[in-house]
Amino acid sequence: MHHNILAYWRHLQSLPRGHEDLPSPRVNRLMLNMFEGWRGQQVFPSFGSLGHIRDHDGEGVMELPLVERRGLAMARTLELISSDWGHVRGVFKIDPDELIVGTMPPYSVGQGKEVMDYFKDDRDERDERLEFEARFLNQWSNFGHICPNHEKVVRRGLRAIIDECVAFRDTCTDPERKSFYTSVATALESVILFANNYAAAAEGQAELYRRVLQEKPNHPQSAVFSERVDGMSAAAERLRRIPAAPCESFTDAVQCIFLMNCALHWTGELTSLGRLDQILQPFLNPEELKTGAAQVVIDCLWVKLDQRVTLDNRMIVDHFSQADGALMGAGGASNFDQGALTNQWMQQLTIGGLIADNEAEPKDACNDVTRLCLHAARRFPFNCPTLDLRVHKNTPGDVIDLAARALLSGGAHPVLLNDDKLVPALRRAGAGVELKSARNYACDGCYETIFPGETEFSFIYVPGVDVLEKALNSGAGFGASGGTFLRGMKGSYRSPPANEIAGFEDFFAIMEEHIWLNVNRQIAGFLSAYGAKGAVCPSPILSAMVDGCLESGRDFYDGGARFHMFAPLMTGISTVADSLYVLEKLVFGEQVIALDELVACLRSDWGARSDVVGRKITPERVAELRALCLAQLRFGHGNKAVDRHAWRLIDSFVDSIERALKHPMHAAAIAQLESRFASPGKPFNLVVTPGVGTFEQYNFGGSFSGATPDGRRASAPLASDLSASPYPQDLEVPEGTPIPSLTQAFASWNDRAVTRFADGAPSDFNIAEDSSPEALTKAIRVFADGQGSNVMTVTTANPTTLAAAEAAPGDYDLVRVRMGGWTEFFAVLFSDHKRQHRRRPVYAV
Amino acid sequence: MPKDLDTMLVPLPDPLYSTPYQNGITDPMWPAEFDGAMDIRQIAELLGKLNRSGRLSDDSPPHPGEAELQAAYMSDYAGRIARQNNLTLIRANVLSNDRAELIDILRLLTQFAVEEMERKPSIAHVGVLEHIPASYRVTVTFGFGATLFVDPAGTDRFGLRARKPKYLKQMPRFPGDAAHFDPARTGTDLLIAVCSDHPYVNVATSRFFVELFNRRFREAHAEIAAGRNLLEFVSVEEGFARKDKREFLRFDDGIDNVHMGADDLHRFVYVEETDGEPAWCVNGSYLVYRKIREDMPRWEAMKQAEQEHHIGRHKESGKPLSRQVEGEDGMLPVYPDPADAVDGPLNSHVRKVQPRRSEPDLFGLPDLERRFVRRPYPFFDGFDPATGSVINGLQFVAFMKSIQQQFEHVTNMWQMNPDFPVSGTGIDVMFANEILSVIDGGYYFCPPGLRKPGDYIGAPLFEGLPEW
Repeated sequence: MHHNILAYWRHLQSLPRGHEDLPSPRVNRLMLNMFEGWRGQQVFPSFGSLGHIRDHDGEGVMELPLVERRGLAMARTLELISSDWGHVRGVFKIDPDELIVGTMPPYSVGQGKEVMDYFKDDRDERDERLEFEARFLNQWSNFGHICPNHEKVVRRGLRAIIDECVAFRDTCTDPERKSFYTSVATALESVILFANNYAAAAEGQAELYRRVLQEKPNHPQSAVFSERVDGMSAAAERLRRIPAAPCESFTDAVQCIFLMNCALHWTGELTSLGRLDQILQPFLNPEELKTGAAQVVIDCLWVKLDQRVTLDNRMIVDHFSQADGALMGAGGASNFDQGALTNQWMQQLTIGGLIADNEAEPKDACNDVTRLCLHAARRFPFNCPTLDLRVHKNTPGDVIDLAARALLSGGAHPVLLNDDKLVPALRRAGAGVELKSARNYACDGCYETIFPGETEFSFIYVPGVDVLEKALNSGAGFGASGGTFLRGMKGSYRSPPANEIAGFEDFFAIMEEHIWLNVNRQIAGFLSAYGAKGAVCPSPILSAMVDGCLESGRDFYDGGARFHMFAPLMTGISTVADSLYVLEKLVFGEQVIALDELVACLRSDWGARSDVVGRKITPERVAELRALCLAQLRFGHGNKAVDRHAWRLIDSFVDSIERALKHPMHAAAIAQLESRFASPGKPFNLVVTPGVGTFEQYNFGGSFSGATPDGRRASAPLASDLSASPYPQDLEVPEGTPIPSLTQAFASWNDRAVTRFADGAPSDFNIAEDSSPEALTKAIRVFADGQGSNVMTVTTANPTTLAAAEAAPGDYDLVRVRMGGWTEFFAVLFSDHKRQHRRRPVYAV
Repeated sequence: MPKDLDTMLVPLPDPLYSTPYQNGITDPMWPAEFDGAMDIRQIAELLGKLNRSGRLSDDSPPHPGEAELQAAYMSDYAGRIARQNNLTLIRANVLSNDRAELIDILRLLTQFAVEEMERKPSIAHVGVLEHIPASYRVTVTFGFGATLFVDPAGTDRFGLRARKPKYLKQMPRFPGDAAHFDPARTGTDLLIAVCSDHPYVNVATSRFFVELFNRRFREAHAEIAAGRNLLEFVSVEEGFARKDKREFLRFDDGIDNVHMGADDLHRFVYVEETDGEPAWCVNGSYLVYRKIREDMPRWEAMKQAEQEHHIGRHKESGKPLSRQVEGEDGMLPVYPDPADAVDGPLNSHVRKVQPRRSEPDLFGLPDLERRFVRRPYPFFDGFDPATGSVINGLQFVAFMKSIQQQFEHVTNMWQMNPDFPVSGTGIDVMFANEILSVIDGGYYFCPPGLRKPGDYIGAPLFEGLPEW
């Protein structure tokens, strides 16, 4: 593990030629230039610089339906980006050492994006802009979080898809569908133009170096220049051919996937890459593997996917709008934890797992490309692509070993997902889910599991801490008690006050009532908003790459996908479990704290606020009680006494979802969706995948929450995903705190309830930098064999390293930590996030 | 030993004012080949082979023949920079965020520079001098700092972000930097390097910029409010050349450049189309400025052999400590095994900054491709009451086509890498033992030269820029 870029280079310099960790000179040159870009500011198109479609196509374009305007806006965007316009603005680049060509946009979930406007506004008869923004939707609302069907483009080529689209358009009579097909064909044609513009740029580079070599055949760098002539000529030829035509080689396929990825991201759709090893393996020839050429191609892809890192958080830009990546049914502006998402581009890449078939016996899917990807993840100190390795009982040992070595290199890659738990859960998640789809799952851009190329996906949040507070505080939260509100901000049933709650079971029943209300509220919001984006931000390129859309003539955001995946996510489960344990043991069990006394502590934020109603207690007593609460057992340390509260909470939550979706209250809304989106041979079914999506929002989510019985202060971060809680933000971690080993801790997740989280329930572990590779291999094997949660992430970083990195970020610019579903450079995180990571338990291996 | 250039009859090379490059980077330069302009007597004089009566010296019988003199010239002078005697570095920040104002600033700076470079020596303004040369060989070289493109808060002040030279950034800290030196604070928007053969000329030229610029700008722009300055001058640094081409440590390493043909020199210094820089950068050059303080009491307390082991060269001859040498003057070391200390301590300065391995490195480049052009000048800053010693050292100014692939590679991968060439070597012993410490500096990019009369420095940067 290398703490900074300089140490990494020095390490590479020290390696003998041919060492497995030493990339080729070409890759090193590319990486050198890339690192230089990381230190500065990534070039964003400036605010509004892409303009409006009417600026490019004239006023007449505003007569077209919105979906066609969107298709044209995407086409003009790709044309602009890859023309002189993009060149002079520094967003269209080519490096003569590249084997894989294309430029990613700097758009990230944290920094936002630029898209070309296509809305009617107050100049037109209908003000779409006002209408949509009033509903918290806009041109930026495309959600990403989707795994497109890259294999379809690799295998068939865009030209065949366009032809299919045109044929559909010519035979259909519905004007809305005709417009949809027109939009798709227009956008896909522009992707071919986009590729051709890169081909021209590559030809220009080849010509430049050819000329220099002719003029100075003995140039000291003639060998490098010759390589560039060959590489650029080959890239140009390739980009004239693909993605229009089917791919013929390994490099073709990698180039095709990357170029489509660029096109999607540039047009505002931050999507993932899918099961790369399954797509690429058929194109790999043994000679490329033997000579190392295939590894170089994969390495070049890795470098391309990581181009847009910003390491200096003074250089972060904020192009976010109120409705970027809007969650359906959220009923408000979409805001994410920007200080944690600077370098999250959703570029998730899934490998390993099972062959996607319907056979009774599952077959392992690991192949040569699986291993090439794991080598790349170990060799490069990058945060992207986020590599997800699916494991199961029969995952080969060498793959597990490669995963352990990659994790110890410090990038928190790969994420580990257990197929033996997730595949059955996904199979059960909805009607019509075939085994081969479940076996084909991939991560969506974060860690959520979806069926690549055939799924549309959305999620809702049910904050666990919120329902806990409501149960403790008669339907009000603690966050704003005192000052603004009396007992707190009301938001749920007015349930009994603390002094009337007789026992733990009574309390839990009250909490379940609040869960039930919250779940129904969220589902109602989701159902009422479902499909709304189709009329606002259709996505023609993505629609061409998700099965079901072209067949049904419906946009991806208009119910076109084959599967409609819906993930209700409960956040902060670990924090709630820890709190429930305190309630059970100290309040209702040992009775060393009265419930109203605890509530008084929480309303006052453990004594920090005085203007609160309820029982008055002395500061000394508050301090005594907090210390007592902090000393209790925690979830995620293998203690069943506390872990079972998490399991029970999960069961209650998932039961509520299942019950709610059958409840008469929602029947009309569901029937309406079925009637709107079902078509012959394509019934409308929701695939429901519950999960625990705290993600990076352990900060944002915590910021709304009051103090909790586990000793956490108001507004302090929660635990990440389904992981052990960090030590409270306002306190330093006491030395000598006992932490179990990874495999001992797995017991915290060994319950059937956890496997109900088909969306994935990440257990995030931190381990020491000097952990033994052999021991980690064994621990991963134990996980693959079925112990622990269904998703496991490992961050390799010593607390002392993180503390030093907080003080001197420049000296630790390669220290990376696992966020929700991606890896982030520690140096660029906002301070609250840094402090949260520093306080996570470090497990022995 | 070459003679005092001031008193020589041999015409010194003039700066080149009309090349694609800015002057003051690789010019003035001694001709790389004999072109007939210099006769054998002049060469002999240059090489110190004439006696007082103007005849070939008889102190080294037999008398040098023409071929020998030519060979000596090729070895010691050809293709080398004929530096002026004096350096002044002026650093300034632009007090505007308006692109049009920035262009006007650059126009006026260019006008100032051209006036100074075209000014002929006159008895009227340097009457105290006995000898009025034909030219003071004035060069004015402009450099742009990273903050001109994106300021430290990430703001694209002039809409130039997309055209930032790709390796231009704030100078990072390196091992050997003085504790108080924070390069993030010393970098500026602009650097103006003034060189001439006389200190009075440097003083006059510097005053011209520092004291007159803002007033002249306001006079030329009626819309500028009274009292508003467009440039904030941050510092003026000075350096001077010793006649013997050595510096305070009394070694000649660190001052002069190795002999190379003009094409080679340009290849190492000027950005070419093949470098992947923004188009406007072609024929420009990066400038690395490091003000290196030398701890003379510590250095002078060492015995000569110890000093030689620090530098890696013999003090008197300047020749390397290696068993084998190469080059016409025998100044180039040969290291058959880069990890063998028998050819000089592995942490000696020369071994740390130029290992001279022939095999391509991890980027596919041989070590000699990392060379760059140095144009440094000793400085003297008076007395340091904190230490009780004087403040002197070297204004290290170097030009190259890539900071990252040349200066930073040499510094990071070799010189300051404690495990190069072998684990445990330590950093350059001159810095490890605190003989040297860097106390100031910055990175700049010098735009290409003026293309025609009336042009202004950096004009190509602004051509074809999108609206901002």
